[in-house]
Amino acid sequence: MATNVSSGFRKIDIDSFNDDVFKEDDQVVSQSSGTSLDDKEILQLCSAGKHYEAIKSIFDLQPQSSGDSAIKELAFNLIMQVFLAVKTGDIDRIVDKLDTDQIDLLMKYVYKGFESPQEGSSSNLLVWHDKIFRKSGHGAIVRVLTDKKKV
Amino acid sequence: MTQVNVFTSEPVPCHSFSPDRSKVAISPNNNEVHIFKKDNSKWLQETVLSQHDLRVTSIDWAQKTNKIVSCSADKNAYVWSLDNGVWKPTLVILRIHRAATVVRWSPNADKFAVGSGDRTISVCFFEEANDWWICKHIKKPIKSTVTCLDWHHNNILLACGSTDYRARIFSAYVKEVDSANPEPSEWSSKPTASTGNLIGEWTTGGGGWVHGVAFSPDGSKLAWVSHDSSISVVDAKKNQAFITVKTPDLPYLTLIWSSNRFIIAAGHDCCPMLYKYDENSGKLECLEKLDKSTKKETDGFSAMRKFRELDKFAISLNDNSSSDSISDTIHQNSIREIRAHSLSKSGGVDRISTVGLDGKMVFWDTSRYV
Amino acid sequence: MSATLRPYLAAVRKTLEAAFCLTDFNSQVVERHNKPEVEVRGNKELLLNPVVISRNDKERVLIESSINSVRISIAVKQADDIERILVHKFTRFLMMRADKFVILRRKPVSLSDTRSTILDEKTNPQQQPPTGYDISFLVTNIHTEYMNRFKIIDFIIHFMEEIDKEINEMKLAINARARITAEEFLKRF
Repeated sequence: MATNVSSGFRKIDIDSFNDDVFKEDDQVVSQSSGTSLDDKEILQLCSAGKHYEAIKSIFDLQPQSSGDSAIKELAFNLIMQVFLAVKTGDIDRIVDKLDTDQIDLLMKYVYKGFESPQEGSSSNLLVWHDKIFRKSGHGAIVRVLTDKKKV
Repeated sequence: MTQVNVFTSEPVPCHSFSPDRSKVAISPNNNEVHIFKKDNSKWLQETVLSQHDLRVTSIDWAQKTNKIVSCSADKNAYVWSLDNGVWKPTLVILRIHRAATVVRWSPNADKFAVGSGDRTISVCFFEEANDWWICKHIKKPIKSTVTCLDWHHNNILLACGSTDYRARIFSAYVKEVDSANPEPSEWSSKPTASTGNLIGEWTTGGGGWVHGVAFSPDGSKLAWVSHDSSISVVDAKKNQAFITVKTPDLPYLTLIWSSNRFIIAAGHDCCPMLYKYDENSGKLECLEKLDKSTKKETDGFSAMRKFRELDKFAISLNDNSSSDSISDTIHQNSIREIRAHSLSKSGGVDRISTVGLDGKMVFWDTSRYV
Repeated sequence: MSATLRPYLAAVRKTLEAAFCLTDFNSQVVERHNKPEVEVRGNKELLLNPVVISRNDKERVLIESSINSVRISIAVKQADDIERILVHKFTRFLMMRADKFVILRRKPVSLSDTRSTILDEKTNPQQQPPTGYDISFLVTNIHTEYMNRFKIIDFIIHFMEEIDKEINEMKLAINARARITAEEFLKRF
């Protein structure tokens, strides 16, 4: 008597086993960076007013390509602290020094910051969004939407 | 310099010119193909070809044989031949199970390629024995809908872009049509005499669907535009090294080489942009916008103008922010396709035409960029 | 507080301009069909990353885009019970007439639709779970072809501006009517 036959097979999505189907895992190649992120050093740079250098050293470690979510979270928290630390007048100066790839990455962090709003963070992020947009145009926003490498 | 023609108020997603450029075939976003004839400076509707059931997605007019091929979302393609002044359709057996998205005649017009949502390219040729068009399929390794196609001038290599973020070059050799021993091209040292052979595959890494591909006139370079607002060029002479430029504009949908150095790309920004590719240094850079029209300066407080704007654009009398809503470009909605109109003696393109979702066809003079 | 309104709407406008780059796309799952891919969510390669723009922890806009359609979900500020009821009734009124509205979705995007896409509880355990969205728009390539897409964006921004004002006006009207009613009633005693 077929009493214990599981019907889990009915819920399998057969089409996903088809060779032709686009598989996202092939696309994102995660590389783990060699050096780890030194948060004390970044915070020191930050308190010394060297915000651009702090951002640059976080970006040099390519957190968006890392497979490790702890590194990503650490990088995100550090960037949020840098965002809050920079005075509004200095934002333009920092954004001007960054190149296209770094601007795109910074915009990704702005949007990630919007997802978890804290006390006063959103208004700060809105200012950063505006300043970055002035330099990068719609291209940076489009790349946030399309890039599969998430921060 | 630029000449604007408004066909309909319907969006025009595709168009193609007759060999003598006196006629143009467009589709007004429905299941018909309209042929317009040039009459001095106006375009008058001459014929309507209606055989398709669903929206026509792409049209191409063969330069050598004067045949039109149209493909549509109803999984069919028809080849239209002019017979005593009447266009007669011939059904093409594409053997696809999803919509056809793009169709292009090869340079010798003896075969054509159809891209489809079935993750397949159908390369179709005419079989004299049975008096019909049959096709060969190119499937692997395409993983998603094919959005754009372009033939190499050697009639064998075919470039395609698809929504799996990749631009690829395949060999679309058909033994019934092509010569037995095709010359090897700069893209592959191996002989390309097998249909569906993948010659190369590239992606920008940014995760954007490829909207347009184009071979340069000499065939040694392939350029493509993708949805991550980037334009890329891969150069066969530089060992297939490729360069990507991330632009600050909205994504481009189409592009064309006006010569071996200049590319014109256009898309959601409603304005064609000129790019220059330097072969020696391998650098790609944006030079300028082709559309230099500026916003009409407000000439005083004119009540007539305010009421006209209220009527035409639904802009209310006190609205400041919506002045950005009217684009100051000639095209008021995305540009969908660029085609070469006139070729110069040196092989470059003197004049291009763009069609967009605003129903306009605009001619641009590109003789400076040759 | 209102100092963030302009930058918030400007940020939403720019993001919408980037997300509204839609092209016609026939379904690659069902033949002869043309569906909004953001609703079908069948093929992951056709979807773009969803983004959130928040003004504070209560007001948010979620923008999910795909190759031929965009979904915009708005979470309206609701400070107390009266506002919650008013927003619920107001959005219900609009959503029941969604077909006349053309770009409105009949139901707001629920959290279960979005949970797998962005908000991962593991990264922010101490955050309060988000409260969901009140109203959603669905704009497809048909709309951007037949209507000016910048005007659609103008409309959505105008809607976001006006809804707060409307809710406040309605709340004042309720309070005024309640006060008059209470006065009349209590005059008896």
